[in-house]
Amino acid sequence: MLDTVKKDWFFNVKGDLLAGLVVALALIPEAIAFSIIAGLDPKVGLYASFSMAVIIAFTGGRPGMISAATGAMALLMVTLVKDHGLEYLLAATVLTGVIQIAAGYLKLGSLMRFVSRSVVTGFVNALAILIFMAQLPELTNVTWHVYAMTVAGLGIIYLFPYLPVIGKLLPSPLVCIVSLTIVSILLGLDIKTVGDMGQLPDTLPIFLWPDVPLNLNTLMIIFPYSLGLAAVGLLESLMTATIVDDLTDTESDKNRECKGQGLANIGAGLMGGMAGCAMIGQSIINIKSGGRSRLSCLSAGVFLLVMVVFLGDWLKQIPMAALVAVMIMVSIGTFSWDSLRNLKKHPLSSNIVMVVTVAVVVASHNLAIGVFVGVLLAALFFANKISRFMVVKSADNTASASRHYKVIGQIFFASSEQFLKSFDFKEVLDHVTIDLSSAHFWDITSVSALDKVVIKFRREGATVELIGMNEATNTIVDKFGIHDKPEEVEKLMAGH
Amino acid sequence: MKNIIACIDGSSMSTTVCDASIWAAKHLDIPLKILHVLDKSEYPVTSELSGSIGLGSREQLLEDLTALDEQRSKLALKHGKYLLADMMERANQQGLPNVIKQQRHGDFVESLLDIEAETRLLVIGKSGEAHQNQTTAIGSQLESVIRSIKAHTLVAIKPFNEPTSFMIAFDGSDISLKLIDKAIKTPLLNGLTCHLVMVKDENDRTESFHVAAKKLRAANIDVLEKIIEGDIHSALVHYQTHNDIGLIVMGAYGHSRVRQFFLGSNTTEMLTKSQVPLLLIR
Repeated sequence: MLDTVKKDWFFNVKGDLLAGLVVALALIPEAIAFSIIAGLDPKVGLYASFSMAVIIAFTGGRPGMISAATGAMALLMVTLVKDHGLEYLLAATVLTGVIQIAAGYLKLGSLMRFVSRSVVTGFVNALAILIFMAQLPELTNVTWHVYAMTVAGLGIIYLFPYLPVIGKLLPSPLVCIVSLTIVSILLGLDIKTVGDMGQLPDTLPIFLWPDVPLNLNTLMIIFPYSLGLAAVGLLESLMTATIVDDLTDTESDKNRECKGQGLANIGAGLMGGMAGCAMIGQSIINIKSGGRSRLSCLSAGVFLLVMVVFLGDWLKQIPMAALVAVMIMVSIGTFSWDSLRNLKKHPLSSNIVMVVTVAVVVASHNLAIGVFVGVLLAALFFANKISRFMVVKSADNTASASRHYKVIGQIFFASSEQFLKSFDFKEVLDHVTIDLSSAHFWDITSVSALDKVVIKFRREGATVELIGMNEATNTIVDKFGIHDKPEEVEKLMAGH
Repeated sequence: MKNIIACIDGSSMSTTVCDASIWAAKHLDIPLKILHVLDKSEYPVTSELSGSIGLGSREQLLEDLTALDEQRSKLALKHGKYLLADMMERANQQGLPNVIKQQRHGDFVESLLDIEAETRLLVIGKSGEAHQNQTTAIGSQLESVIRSIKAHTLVAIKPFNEPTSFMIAFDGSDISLKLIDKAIKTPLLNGLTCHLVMVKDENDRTESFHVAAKKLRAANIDVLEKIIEGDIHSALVHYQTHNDIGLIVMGAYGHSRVRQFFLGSNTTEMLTKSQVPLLLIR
């Protein structure tokens, strides 16, 4: 037990604390920005980020990953907040947590294997586009000062790291925020600040049961939102976990992560915070800054709260333009630019899946729907590809007016029609042999197609003989469930 | 066929481990396997605190980290190969021709667990690369290794001299009687004089002490019985140095970690204080 504690928490204390500090500094503007996207007071996002980060540090399945209030989740709750208010959101957040814990126990984390690479890329790109689009209201109908500030902010963020020595020590988003705040105070600019967007935290968060009537009506209101939040939260968290796995060359426990996200969301809801999940951008920042263990996420949460509570008066003065600059950086950093370069290299079907996922998300503002469509499309493309792995060979024997058909390959719903077409029913035959020993029948559509072939030949007056029927029907895997026996799988696939 | 597994790293303790395992291999007449584990978690983590992510940050970071790991792993791999070759040479010189070399990637304890089934005796140094200059420090992985691996474990302590006698600390408990039985069965201790030592306290346990001595004698082992007084660990170590005993035989971590947290552990205490190798019998 003590060994695991050491392995998960304390093998890299200095790196983790430093990274935690950097992440906390980067989390503050994001948490404020995401609360504003959802139409909430900045304190809701800040409390959420604190509670999520602290709870997930203990309960999560992926050390070194950062969870907090996120844009993907904020975008889903906009209408709930607008129509029903904060308390319903808190209740929905708690319910989201419950659903995620259930998903963890049902081991739904393993469903991630159905989400193909192209869908993940589409999700990430759509998220980046949504975060960028959410900044646009701050940039329309404003004075030129705001544009100047935003451009200056982006300049600081991207050029500051190139300064010798100091560039690698101070987080450039922080430098951007601090310098823009000072400039706007000194010049007395009349531009929107964080203080104009709503209440900031002045106390530590307190434990409170959401003030909603506990009845069916409430459940009907919050359940659809919670379901979407739970799905998107788990998707983004598990995707981020995979990214962190790759970066650190270590393994994570996906189902534990599902339960951990659930507990963290319940905690966030009860502490007056909005629902959140793992953050791709922040996790990358954490790894880049040297964070590896659970300690970095815990310290990020604690640093965040300390800074927010004690620096509240200063936070109010931050101009929105500085936040917009930081969020544009986040969206640029989140977008997978490689995916654009790979468009030429990847097969058309993968590209279509990726682009459709992005398009659906951007149109619906719901990442869950986008991923669902993407997965569906990917499955269809896959079925189409596999259905081409089917040939029917034939050899005739004119002397005895008979024909021998040999079926090779995969027969299922997508290839059944092709299968039917492969037989020539017009030919006058006395005897037909169909060799099925190298064919794989996957579902009842294919079985009924076979029945149809036999019946048609019979109606034309031919006698039909099926060879290797047993091998062929054994492949309706549903019935036998042999997927976990390697020798059976080999037998099954030997037909190729 | 079961092997002796000798765990080496880049520290000066490795030669001691090697000598101890050569001695054990000759005594037990079974093959010696020298193991070097490349544990990636031992690499220091690099950090850049700019906190910004730009175009293709993720891909770039993955490339950087992979390149860094690759470099370090290649170096460690090469280093490990030299170490293994050195140790092999040392064994050959001391008249042990059949030595198997093995390198593995991964967590040290997990790697040992993977080959536990073929392990008859595990030989490990008291401390490794991280603590090699501190004489009293015990290695950071030692306790987890001893707790996880259920094979006999020989903890080598610098310098290694072939023992002619060994000491068993006896406390009258059932566990220590079982320990005696197991010690009798171990061919590693054949031909060595046994010092059966008990530290006196308020309970009278001379009867079981004599039973234990009788058992050992019945197995044709030379036994010297001695009851000593004082603080358990210091008294034992004092007796050992005074009589020039080359090996201490004991059980390992008989109690839970919770109890250890409050009461301390005999095993840890002896590992820290002892100047000679310890054989932990399971």
